[in-house]
Amino acid sequence: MKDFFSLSLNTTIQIKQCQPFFLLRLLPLIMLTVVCHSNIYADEGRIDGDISTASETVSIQSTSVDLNRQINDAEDLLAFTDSDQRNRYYSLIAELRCPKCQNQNLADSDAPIAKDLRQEIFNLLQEGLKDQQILEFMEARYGEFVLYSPPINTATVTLWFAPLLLALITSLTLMVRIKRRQAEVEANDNDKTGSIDELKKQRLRTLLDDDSVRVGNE
Amino acid sequence: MSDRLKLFAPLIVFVLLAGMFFVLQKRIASGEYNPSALPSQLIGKNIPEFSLTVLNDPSLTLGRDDLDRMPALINVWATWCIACRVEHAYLNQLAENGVTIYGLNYKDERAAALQWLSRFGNPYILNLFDERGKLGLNMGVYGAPETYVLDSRGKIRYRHVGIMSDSVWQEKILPLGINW
Repeated sequence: MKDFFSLSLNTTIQIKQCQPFFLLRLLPLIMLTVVCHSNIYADEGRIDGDISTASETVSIQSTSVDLNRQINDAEDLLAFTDSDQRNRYYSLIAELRCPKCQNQNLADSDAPIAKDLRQEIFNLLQEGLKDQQILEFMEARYGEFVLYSPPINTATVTLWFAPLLLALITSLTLMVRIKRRQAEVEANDNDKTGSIDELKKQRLRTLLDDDSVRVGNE
Repeated sequence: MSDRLKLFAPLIVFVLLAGMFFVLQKRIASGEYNPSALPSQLIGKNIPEFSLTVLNDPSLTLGRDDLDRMPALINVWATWCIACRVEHAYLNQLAENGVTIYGLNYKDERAAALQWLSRFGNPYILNLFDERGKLGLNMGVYGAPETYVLDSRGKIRYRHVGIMSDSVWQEKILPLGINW
């Protein structure tokens, strides 16, 4: 019973101590909200000031739409010599990245340069180049950037191994924390069920023997 | 004490991240840093061999060795490219100051390109007509405008993707130490 009271008392005190800081913990969130809002307003201002650019952008897009129509028409005419060449073509354009629309591959991208590169890949296949040679051809012009699976070297080592490292760190941290928590729980259980150690016995004795702490005796 | 520090940890992390993004945002806005710019694969090399006609003379075909006035800029442009029009005035200005600029008219129509030059001025000492984008592809061009900087030996020293401006000239090209 005494344990229970001291425990609940402790918890109350902790919560009371925490409350002002609890608000502080929310501060980043509040600041983030404020920053986001101010950005939205800033953007609105910019749009107001730059209507001409916006309309120019629209005209660029309409041009590229026209171009794309031509692209699609042209690409319907790709005459593969056999299904093997067709498969290689589709796997290559899926594996190469568009330098203009940078998070799309050549197959997905509508950029004029992607159309050119698709055509070039088709031409190179017709000329009888191997897949590896075509990848090298692209890399020589547009850099490792265009390879969706770049080779492992000093520049790409982070790219390849950072996820692994993060997973490792996370699982290690989790393991340590779980172990520690388990030890805490076990220690707690021992406290409740196990024998009272010598120090606590002594403390109990002094408390019981001490007349001054008796309540309502006088 | 360390518990208190722990309470502030999220705030500290937030402030650090916010600071980082703020600086990055500033650098992008000023054009100092372009996250989508790719480094050219041709730095330190000559431009690739080519065989293209001159814009204003379809009967005249030139090759790499015909570009013999170095140092020079090679500016990739087209009439369908809005940003090219934005930078055109600055190119005129550079040409007036004696900078040699070769033009690569990229995937364009001959008549429209000639009309553009007569209308907005011609900063180019010579314009190559790359209708199919063949030389562009070999140079790694992925959108106009792009500007290649060639030193006195004809080696590519720098590639600028996007609008050419005075700040690009001052901050990126002059530090290359080429004697214009």
